[in-house]
Amino acid sequence: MNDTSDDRTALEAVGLGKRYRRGWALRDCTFRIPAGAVCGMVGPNGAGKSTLLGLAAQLLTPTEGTVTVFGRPLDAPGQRARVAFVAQDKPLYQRFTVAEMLRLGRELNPGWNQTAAQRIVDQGELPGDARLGSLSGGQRTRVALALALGKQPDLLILDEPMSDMDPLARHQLMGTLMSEAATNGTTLLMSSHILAELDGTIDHLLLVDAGRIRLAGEVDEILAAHRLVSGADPGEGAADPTAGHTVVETRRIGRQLTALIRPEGELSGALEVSRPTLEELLLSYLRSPQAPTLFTDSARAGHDAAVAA
Amino acid sequence: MSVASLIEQVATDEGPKLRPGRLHGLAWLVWRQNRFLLWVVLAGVVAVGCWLWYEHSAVVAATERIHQAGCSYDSDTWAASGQSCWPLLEDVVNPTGAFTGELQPALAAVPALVGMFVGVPLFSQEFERGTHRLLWSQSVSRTRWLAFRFGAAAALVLVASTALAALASWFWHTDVHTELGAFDPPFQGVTYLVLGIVPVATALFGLVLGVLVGLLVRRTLPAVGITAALMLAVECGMYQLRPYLYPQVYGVQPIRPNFDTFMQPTDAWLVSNGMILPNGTKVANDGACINQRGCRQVSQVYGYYHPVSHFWPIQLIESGILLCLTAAVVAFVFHRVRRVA
Repeated sequence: MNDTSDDRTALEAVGLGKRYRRGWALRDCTFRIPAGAVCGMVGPNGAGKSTLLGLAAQLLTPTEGTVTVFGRPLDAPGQRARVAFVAQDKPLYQRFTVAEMLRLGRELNPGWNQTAAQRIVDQGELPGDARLGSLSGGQRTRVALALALGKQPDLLILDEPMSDMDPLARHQLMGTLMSEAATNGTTLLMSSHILAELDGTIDHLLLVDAGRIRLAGEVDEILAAHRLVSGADPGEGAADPTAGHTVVETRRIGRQLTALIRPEGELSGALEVSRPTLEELLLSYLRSPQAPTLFTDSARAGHDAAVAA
Repeated sequence: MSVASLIEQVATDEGPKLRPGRLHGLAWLVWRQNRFLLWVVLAGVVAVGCWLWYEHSAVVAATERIHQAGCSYDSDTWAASGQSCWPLLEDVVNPTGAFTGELQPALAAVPALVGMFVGVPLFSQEFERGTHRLLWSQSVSRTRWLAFRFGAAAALVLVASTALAALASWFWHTDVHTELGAFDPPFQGVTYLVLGIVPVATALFGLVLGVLVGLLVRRTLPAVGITAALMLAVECGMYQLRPYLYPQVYGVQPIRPNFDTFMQPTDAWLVSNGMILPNGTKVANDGACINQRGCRQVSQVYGYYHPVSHFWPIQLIESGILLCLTAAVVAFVFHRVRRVA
């Protein structure tokens, strides 16, 4: 067999696109998520997040382009066991009991870890004989996550995982998720439109907007590449203090000018400079559809090939 | 042997963790999801079997009484001793009439019901609840899942419809199609549909049609309606096609007093008939002849018919057609499931 497996790249998309009857949901997506990353996918509703995750989980077939997991297509033998996916609506068989749902995971997955799955269920104090249909949304999320983690995947894909959990359970479950991922070296890819859910947990970022990737890479590196500058607005016609830098967004409030820029050299001394928070950065990008995209080195497709060459 | 243990036998590819006496892998899931359906179907088949056995006993007892009373259907003694014989015959007519009037139509509807309630939900229920995304995210491939899910449903339908067809054929041969039983020639619309192997082939076709519609329509309720309509259309089409599946026999008879139409042999299916004019032209028996000059001199009638010996050839050809269609639909479903979202 032609072994193209690549342990350093969890997910790689090249020219990936998906068209539905109503138009393109995703277009020209080329990016890479390195193995071991905890990658948050953010973007407004309808940006194409679920489509991208569905393509990565091989639930959808791409209209164009390719997506590979650990260097190999998803339909290659054994690949299905390496990827776990939890859909946004956390589908489960309502008539099954919790124990039967875990048994489904055990029966259909060769690498099943009952202890890991059971731990998550027990944490929520869910009785094994409870029917799924009688559980709350948050409890069902817990069972869905137990099913995904019990599979012991190398890549765990979660679509809006915590959307229907209370803050306490969310915090606890996120902690469990992160420690399981860290213990097993699992790569995590999760989408959310709640920035607070991701800030502080993710180390990689994927900003999806209007069916395109706009930011991809390490959170630290992306934040470090940007500066939030403010100063007196010189007014129309006067020399722009942000000239020479890549401007993501400029806002004028009264005579005050605030801008998010990617500095391309020395900054004008007239400006007050600070580092943006992740939330400030993402909101600036979402407000400015024309802002140029940014991919860090590790997020570029073919990164490892380039390094090797 | 129960169907559960049959499924169990199939599930022998799950490796060393297999413990005897328990289902594993997809076989377990299929059993867990369909056990209720399995019991319902088995209960239905057993109920039909018990009912037919009960009616059969009644017919046997009534026949015994008729013979003891010296009533014989094939002689003039019946008319002579009619007063005492007719009430005895009722005990044969009632059960066999219940078979032809009630059970036969119910059995003829089985293939459509199979499509609507076994075939359609196979996909549509997963789609409606989104659980196909759960299933297809596990380590087993979609085609493997479908092979088990579909194979189990097909096995159940095959076993159940074969049992029902065997029961109906047995009762029809031993109790209905006799000199005392109800008048029920084998080619008669509903009778033909529940005897022999056609009911089995039609039930399998109904299953795959339901599966296909459920896969394409994705919602249970509309899919059930569409499946019912399509099955009705297929059955009507088959009824139209059936006389031409096998060469018909042509016969000519002289006109006899009081009989101006063609008389087909016992249990034969008269497909078309008419009169032969003195000049040799044939006129179909649809009243067109009445005003024609030659009709008064007609001395011969003709008929195209299927003798009872054509029953099995026609059943085999019809079943072959249905099974070919079934295979084509199955191939399409397996192809399509790989690309469906």
